[in-house]
Amino acid sequence: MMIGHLHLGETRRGLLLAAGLLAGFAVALSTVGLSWQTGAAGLGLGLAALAGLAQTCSA
Amino acid sequence: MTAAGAGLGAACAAAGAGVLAAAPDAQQPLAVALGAIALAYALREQGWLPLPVPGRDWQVPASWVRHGFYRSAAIFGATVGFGVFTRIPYASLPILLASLVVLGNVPLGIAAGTLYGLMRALSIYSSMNSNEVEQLVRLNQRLIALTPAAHQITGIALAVLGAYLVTAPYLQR
Repeated sequence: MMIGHLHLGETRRGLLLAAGLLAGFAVALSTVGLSWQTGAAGLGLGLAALAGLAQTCSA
Repeated sequence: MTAAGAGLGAACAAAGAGVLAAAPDAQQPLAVALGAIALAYALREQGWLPLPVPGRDWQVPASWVRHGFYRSAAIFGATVGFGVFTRIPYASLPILLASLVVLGNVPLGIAAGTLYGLMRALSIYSSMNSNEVEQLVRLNQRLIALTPAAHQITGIALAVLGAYLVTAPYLQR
């Protein structure tokens, strides 16, 4: 049971990570025509919000 | 805490702007290298790659926060808000700061640092209505219980940023 749960968790995390990779490639493809710095700035702002939220869970 | 975050973001972006002014051609290879590092840390946040997160195990000394409520809150908030002086359990913060250096955009650095600081202070805002120690302990326990999910979510965010940075500079100019 435990191994099954662990396996499911790993699979789900793997799928989510793959979805994240695909999303990154999709953003790169969909923003062709803009400078790559513009897309990176948008993703950086999103990462800033998530990094702050995550860090608040550590205290 | 929020002002400290904005200051750190601005400092990183200003440092990056200085580097890019001296070596403008370095931005693209630095971005791609940072993308590869972000992908490695995305695996780390899922627990699949044992990479260290740069940081230090230091806490604000109790003697620093015994000088009245507002002064102590300012000292604590400023120290913790910078993020880099105390423990960094997540890779997302160092990757964020590195991306601000690579982009070298000071207004973006201020915006991202402010956003980081605002979100970092959410635990403080949410504890403002808690007057009893038990309530604060329960809130702290609830936040700590979210730690595994926070690692996974920030890991996915690092995967998005990493995939973008290793791809986009070659597609766009």
